[in-house]
Amino acid sequence: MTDAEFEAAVEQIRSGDKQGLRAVYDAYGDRMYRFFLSRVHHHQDAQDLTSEYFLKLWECLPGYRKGTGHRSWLTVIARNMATDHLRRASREMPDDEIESSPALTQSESAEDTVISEMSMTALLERLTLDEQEIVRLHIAAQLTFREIAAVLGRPLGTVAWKYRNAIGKLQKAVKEGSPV
Amino acid sequence: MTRKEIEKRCFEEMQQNIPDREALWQRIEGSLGEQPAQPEVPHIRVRHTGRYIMTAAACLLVVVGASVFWRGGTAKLETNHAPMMDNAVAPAGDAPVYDDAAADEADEAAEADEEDNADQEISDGEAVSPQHSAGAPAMDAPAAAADDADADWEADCDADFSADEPAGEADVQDGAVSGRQSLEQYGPKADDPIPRRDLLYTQDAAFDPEEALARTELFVKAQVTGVSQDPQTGIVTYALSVLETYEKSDVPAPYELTLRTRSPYTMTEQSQYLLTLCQGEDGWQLVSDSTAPIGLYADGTMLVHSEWTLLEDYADTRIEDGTGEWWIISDPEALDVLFDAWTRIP
Repeated sequence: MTDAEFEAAVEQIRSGDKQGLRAVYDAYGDRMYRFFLSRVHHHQDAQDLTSEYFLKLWECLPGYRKGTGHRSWLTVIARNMATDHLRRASREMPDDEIESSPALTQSESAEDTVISEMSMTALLERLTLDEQEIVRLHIAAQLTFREIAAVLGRPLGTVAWKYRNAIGKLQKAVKEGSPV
Repeated sequence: MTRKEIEKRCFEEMQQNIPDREALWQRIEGSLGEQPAQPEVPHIRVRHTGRYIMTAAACLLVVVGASVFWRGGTAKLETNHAPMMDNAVAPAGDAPVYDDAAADEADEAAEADEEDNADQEISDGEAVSPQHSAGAPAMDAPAAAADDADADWEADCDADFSADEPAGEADVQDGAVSGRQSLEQYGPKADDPIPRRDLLYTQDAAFDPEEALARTELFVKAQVTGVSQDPQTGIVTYALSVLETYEKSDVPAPYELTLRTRSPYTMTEQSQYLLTLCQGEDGWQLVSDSTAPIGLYADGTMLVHSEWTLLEDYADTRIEDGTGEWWIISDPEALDVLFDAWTRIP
């Protein structure tokens, strides 16, 4: 979806036309679902978040300002929602579940863990938080490095650099069948 | 497994169990309420009607009249031409004397005129003239400030989000900024008093980028905060503030750096550079005096010495100076190439 198409959709939404939101949903629904799924690791939660996300867009899209880079703008909202969700979940989850939750074992020592299931999702968990986020934004949300740099407020070179590192680690892990 | 294959595999896993798009849309659509009315942007405006101004003028006249009356009716209405002060304290010459009453009256009248004009222009939907804006800040300031803020914000956004085009590329390509101008503006200057070039090493032709990368333990992006030179040894001491670090392994990244060198590639104060560092006896040091720092400009372009042969394909503009050929590079991917080459070195 180009900026012009997005702005046209925003105009429709401003006038209360749901087709404007439908256009945004068609363009970004799958990406946002992938992004949420990669963050929360739970299909139903990812669906709920996707649904909530577009309801939120319905309310706040009329406030969107032209020329701000709509993909980055959309992703910032999704990122905040996912963060809020994880924060809420961690508060509501009993301690023993927290320990076993895959989404919350990111700081677990890689050396102590043997990855039995060689899924990329599992391997992603072994990257640093920064690297995970950049990989998710690039692959799941399909943002360019420049857009990721804008979303995270990090220099482009750092983003590209961390992404390369992350992919290198994944390559190595897949090749050796060992933890990242 | 190549990078593309890794990305594809990640994507496919994330794509699994994508919910039925129509069903999810039905769910979303069913929960949509009416589009909330957008609150109007508050517009603060002081508006004085003609009746108010007439009333104010009448009140003023009454006050002035009463003042004259209470002074005994003999005092003339003081003007700028009438002396108000004793000669002992009066300024020399024909300096105008401030008359409170008359000045207030004049101010009120002028303000009333301006407000009338402003109302007229604003209500007509016409642009307020610059002169008028200057004369009526109370009325125009909020809108003007908001406009300024918008402009700043938009400029920031442009800066942040217009990254699809390499920064500075247009300038270079358009020839608006020639390579020579850029070098003079940002690069090492031959006439800089510090450091003195005659005390520095001459350019070392034996530079080997692969060797330099192999010795590099840390890349830092840093800003020069101070430069001094020992006149006896010629050694230049650079104080640098580290902005970013790029490391292959877990090394304690410095926040401040002090580098001593006789490198012919001088750095200028307040400029930013990408430097290749390794651990020396006294802490971090340049990997060698023959390794040219990469100049980083505010517009995203880089000034790279031709020693860095692996970046030659990215050169937009080539410049010669006393230390050899330099390239202006606007494509940020060039740094990726450099880092990539570095990470491939065991």
